[in-house]
Amino acid sequence: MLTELHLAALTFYALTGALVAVPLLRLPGGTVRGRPALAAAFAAVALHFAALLAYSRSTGTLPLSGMAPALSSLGFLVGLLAFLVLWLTRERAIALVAAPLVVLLLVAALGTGFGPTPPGAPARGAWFVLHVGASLLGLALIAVAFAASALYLLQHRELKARRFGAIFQVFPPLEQLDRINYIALVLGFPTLTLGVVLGAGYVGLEVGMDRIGPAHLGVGLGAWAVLGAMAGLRLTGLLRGRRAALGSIAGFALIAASYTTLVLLQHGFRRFL
Amino acid sequence: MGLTLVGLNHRTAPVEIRERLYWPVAEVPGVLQKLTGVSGTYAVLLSTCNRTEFYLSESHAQALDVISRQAGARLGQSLDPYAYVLQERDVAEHLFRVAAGMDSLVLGESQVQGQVREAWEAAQSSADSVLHRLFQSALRTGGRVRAETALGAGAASVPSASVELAHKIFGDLSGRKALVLGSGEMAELAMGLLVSEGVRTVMVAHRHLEHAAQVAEKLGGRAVEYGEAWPMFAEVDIVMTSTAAPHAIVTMPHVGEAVARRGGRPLCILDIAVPRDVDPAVGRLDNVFLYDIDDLQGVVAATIGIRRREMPAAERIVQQELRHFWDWYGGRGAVDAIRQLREHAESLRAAELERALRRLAHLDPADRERVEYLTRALMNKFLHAPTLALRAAAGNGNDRELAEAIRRLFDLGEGLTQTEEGSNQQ
Repeated sequence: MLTELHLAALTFYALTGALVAVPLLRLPGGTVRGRPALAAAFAAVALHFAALLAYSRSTGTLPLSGMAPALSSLGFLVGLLAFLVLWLTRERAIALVAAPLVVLLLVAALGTGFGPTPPGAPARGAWFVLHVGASLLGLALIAVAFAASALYLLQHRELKARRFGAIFQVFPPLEQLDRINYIALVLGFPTLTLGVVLGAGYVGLEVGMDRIGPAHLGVGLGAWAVLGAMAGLRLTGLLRGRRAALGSIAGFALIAASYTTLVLLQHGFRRFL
Repeated sequence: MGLTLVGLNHRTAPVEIRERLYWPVAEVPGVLQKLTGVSGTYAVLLSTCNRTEFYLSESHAQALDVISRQAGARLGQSLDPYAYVLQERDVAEHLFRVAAGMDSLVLGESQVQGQVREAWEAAQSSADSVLHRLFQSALRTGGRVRAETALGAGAASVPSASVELAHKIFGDLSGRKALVLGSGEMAELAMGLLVSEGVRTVMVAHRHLEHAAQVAEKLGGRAVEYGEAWPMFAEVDIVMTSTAAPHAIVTMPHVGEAVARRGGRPLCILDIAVPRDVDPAVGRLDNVFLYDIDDLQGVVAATIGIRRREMPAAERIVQQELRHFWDWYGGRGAVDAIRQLREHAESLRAAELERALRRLAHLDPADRERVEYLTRALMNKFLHAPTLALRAAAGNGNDRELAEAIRRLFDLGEGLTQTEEGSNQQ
């Protein structure tokens, strides 16, 4: 049931991306407006939520501990935030980046498998749940900033090059994408800060410093520092537009690369999440 | 005759003919009153800058004469070389396409939907149920085409392309600042559209300050000298240039420093002058988006291309709505035919029953009732199959032959065919 629900959610995420991509293919009738993409996105998020609910019911724990549940939860938060952007702005193009990202996370989660918690893992109390929950939400907000930034750079390139094709027609205005990037970063930083603070509480009060690897600390604090710098520059008005988009993409890439390296290098309970 | 359309449009008549045959909406009820009063027909008049069309229901030859005379008097010549006449299903299909913007000079334009609505509203007392239904269906078709396809999407003129480009950079234009350099009809039109989208603080610079003041007054802004305009490149969001200068006047030495002070905020420059007013080097600056008249025409061409690709989808909607309307319209004709057939049968039944009952005077009231019931049941049984066949044929729009056969078979005279003719011109 858990796998089936995840597969159904994955299918609807892919369908959302495909529906939004249709106008870019310049097919007759491809620019048809309407609500299919929004409906598909809603179905994807609802099915994904049902999948996470099914996991919680079957294991008696929140889907935050372990690689597959955490990846799935991160994917759900990215999908939910992207759906909110799509719903509130009526600009569907955000799904062009967010949908493949969530599909990738779900494929990774399904590939890893929703097995039982490995033996010897530390206790998972409230500190841990809040730490991981806040951290995942912070990372999801960075992913949304990344998605908006990618669209910004593409639309910026089209506008500068005076090309008025499908991207020009379908993608949202530059300032709107910049605004999404701003909000995502400015909300993401306090959220991730909360995650870091709760993580410190979790380490100090529940598991002890000896159970946490330096790489874990490095990536966590590194992500926090990158996001902090970005949010600070945005809040002070020193960074905006194309440079902010480039910075967000670089920051997201740095965090994703560091985390992936960490996962590949570490084993056992020391693995992230 | 049933539904008939007499008219001319941008395809059949040049503008000097169309403008003479244009009736402002306030005059339309008077024209229709005259037409319906003289000819006894029902009518709607759709008169726009691109078309003048009379939609007639149950029209008579006299109505066409009246229209021809009215139009001829207005034109000072015969209407015939420019006019087209459509009948029945073609009328409905034509109006549905008109309302959807598929027959417009600028493909997919939306103004025509409002004009069709106005025409219908101006004809409330001169239209019958058929015309009311026809126009309601046309408006629904137009609404569906615009909602379900991108036929009306994008900018289809240079001024609206200016607005679309500004939208693609800034999104909401409310409160944005604009600067106009020079003057010109196109620039004023485009800036007027931008102001209607919420652009504020329009400053107008011109070689002659009094001319700048005139344009600024129209746009609700203020006039400035050219010298004052250059530092404004640091503050404004949109610059529109349309001077008659023989060379570029917006150059790096003039605006480079001001643009550098913008702090990454985008600047949209719309240069619609020929020769161009803005040095292309300015457009290469970071966060400066420079478009000339060719670019704006490129936006229009891209929009028209997209709209053309939407035509098959729009055509499908027109055909769906046409089928719905035609089912109703054809069914309405069949109802008349069936009524006549039943009246004829009933009169025969009643006459034969009366004659028979005279010979059967010995029957008691209960038996007389049984005989009457028998005749009525037999009549209904006999008429059941032809009634169903007429309804089905009317739905398919090919009930003329069937009505003719029924007329001959039942010896109904001319009435049935005439009634049916309305729905069978196809």
